[in-house]
Amino acid sequence: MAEPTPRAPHIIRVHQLTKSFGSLTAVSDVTFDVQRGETFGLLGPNGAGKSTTISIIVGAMEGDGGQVEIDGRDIREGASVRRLIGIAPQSLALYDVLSAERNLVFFGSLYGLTGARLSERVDWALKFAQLEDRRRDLVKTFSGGMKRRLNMACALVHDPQIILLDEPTVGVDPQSRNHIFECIERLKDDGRTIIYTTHYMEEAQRLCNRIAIMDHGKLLALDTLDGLLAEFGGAAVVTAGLVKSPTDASILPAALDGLHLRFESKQPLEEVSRLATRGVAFATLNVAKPDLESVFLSLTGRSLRD
Amino acid sequence: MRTIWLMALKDLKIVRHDKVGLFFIIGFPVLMGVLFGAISNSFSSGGDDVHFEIAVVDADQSAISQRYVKALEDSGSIIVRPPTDPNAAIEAQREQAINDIRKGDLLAFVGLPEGFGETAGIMWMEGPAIELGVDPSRSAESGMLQGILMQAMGQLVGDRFADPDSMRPMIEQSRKDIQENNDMNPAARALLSGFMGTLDTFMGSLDELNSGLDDAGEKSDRPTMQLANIRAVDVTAPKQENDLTSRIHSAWDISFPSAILWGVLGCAATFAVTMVRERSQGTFYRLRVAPISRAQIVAGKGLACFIAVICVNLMMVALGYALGMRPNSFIFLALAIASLAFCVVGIMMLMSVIGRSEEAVSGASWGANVVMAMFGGGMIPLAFMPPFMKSISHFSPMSWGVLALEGAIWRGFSLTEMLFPCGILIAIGAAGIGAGVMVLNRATD
Ligand SMILES: Nc1ncnc2c1ncn2[C@@H]1O[C@H](COP(=O)(O)OP(=O)(O)O)[C@@H](O)[C@H]1O
Ligand SMILES: [Mg+2]
Repeated sequence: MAEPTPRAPHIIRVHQLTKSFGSLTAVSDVTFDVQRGETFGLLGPNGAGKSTTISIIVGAMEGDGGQVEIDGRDIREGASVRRLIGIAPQSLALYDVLSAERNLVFFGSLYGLTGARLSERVDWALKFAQLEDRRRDLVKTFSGGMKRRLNMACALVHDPQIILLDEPTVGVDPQSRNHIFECIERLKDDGRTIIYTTHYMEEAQRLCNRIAIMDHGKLLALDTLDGLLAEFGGAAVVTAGLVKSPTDASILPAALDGLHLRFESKQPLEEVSRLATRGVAFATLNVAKPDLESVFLSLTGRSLRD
Repeated sequence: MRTIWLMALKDLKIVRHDKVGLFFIIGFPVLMGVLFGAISNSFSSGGDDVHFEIAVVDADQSAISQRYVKALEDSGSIIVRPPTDPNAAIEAQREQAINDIRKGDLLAFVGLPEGFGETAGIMWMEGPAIELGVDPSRSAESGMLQGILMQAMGQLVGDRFADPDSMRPMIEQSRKDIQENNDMNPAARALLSGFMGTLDTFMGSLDELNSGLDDAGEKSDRPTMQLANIRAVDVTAPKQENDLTSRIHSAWDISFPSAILWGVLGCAATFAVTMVRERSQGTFYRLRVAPISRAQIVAGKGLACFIAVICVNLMMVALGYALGMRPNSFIFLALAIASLAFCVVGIMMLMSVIGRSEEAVSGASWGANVVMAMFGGGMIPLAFMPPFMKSISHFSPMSWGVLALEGAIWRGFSLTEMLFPCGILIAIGAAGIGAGVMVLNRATD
């Protein structure tokens, strides 16, 4: 049997990346690898350094220090590496006075698409952006959400292996947002490698295999969702209203406040069923499992939503 | 190259949507060209305010030469000063006129050579050259004067051919003169005798003559439809004859180079703005991450600007031609236009890095444009500029553009003479591109 061609297990390697703007350190010693076919999340509040990191990865900006390798090569090596990458920048990057179609044709051609392949991809991208019936309209006549979708479509028109989406859902209505998620999931199933930055934990939670948490230019933690929750999520919070106070208050994990009970637990459901078998009757019950919000809180002492 | 072409095409499409830019690139120059031309036209054909006082030294003393002097006076802008002593020898009259010019008493003198009447207005005959000596300090008027000389000659042509019937008595008279005058040059006699016969075939041959028009710049034995053969006389050094034959065929020759300037400056500013817009709208980001080089990005922008400048020039030349502008040499004109376009690309590159926002670049560019145009002949044609402005104009790249265009259109430059302004234009272009690219390469965002 023929040996499979050896391929680096990591399609993107970022090593000790650093970038400052004057006295401000936007990215500080950031190191991570992205595996082939993985959806990798960069989660952090505004100003965390996500976009700067992305810009250095795609070669739009030079880092002050550190290395970036794409498929084993330096991004500065040229066209063949760049062709692998599709990026939807956070700030819209479209020609306002050209039509949706012209934008896609132009960007597609820049990546070497021509003829039937080009029109096929442009059609695909228009469908992706749900702009088939507006294809000949100028971009300046579009709504914010339409522009966002087109901005993403321009990143995908040349069918890249590596896709970087920098906060692609900002300013998008919920319906479009769902459509975008579905599309990303399809790209995932297709085996594309995706880096997705966001400051919405729900998005990272829903889409990403692994999530890196960034703040103030530093990468604070990197793991799967479950790994992050297990390590940094802390206990779940259970709040309950009891029908009546139990005769033996010592079986309760916390003191009662009237009929209200509030306690933290790593195994909240087990704890609740233990109480139930001991005859505690619940009128209301709420289990708040830890999420990325609590992970971020425990890592930084601040809320992600600030 | 495909990438550069793609980039350029995209920019041209974008500029098509830029209404203000388009106005300055197309509308404004057309307006300026036609307006200036029309003003100069009325100026040289009957404007009451301007009168050029000249002396005519008529060595021919024929009916035709007198008609010609009358046509000059009829133009409305010329006052012919009668000679102080009409009976003085021609050479003395000429001396006197040159002296008057040198003293600043007289703008110019026109010398009609012997034999003028035999060939003047007959287009297939290249007659002896009309002498024109103009006060060098009033060279601004020289162009207009040449235009008037042409026009008067045109009238002569018209008189001779437009209405042959009315010319018959004159021709009969001439025949009689020929027969009565035994001193007459036999060649002239034969010529005038054959005149009536030739008249019929004239219209037919006119087309053929017209086709020789474009080669008017070349010296050839073949008669060309050059209305008047004017030989400039350097009045400061009367012994030395300046052989430069100036050929202003119409006021459009003067107005169009200036007007073209506005168009090309419009291109520079408009494309400079598309360059910053590329940054402000974020598309520069996409271009930088795409598998294309910075050089291709810059070249694409430059090519778009270059093409636009060429288009503006072609449009203006076509319009000028339709109105009556007759470039001396189309090859030199192409050379001038290409050099100018390259220069404009450099200016555009510089403008594009002046500021970071569209407003800043657009404001600064148009400010620079107005200054460059003012001193480069975009507002007042170089030919009509006061001397102090003219000396400043050397610092405006646009004055070299005008010089190159004029060199090809009516100054009758030789190739070496053309290479001078064209070389300067190309040098400015190269410097601008170099500086622009350097600044651009430092930009990181
Ligand atoms: N071109 C720039 N010049 C100066 N400061 C910048 C520039 N780009 C980003 N920054 C700063 O760097 C920090 C990180 O920005 P960014 O990477 O955009 O964060 P994020 O994408 O996570 O919101 C911010 O404080 C931002 O103000
Ligand atoms: Mg960002």
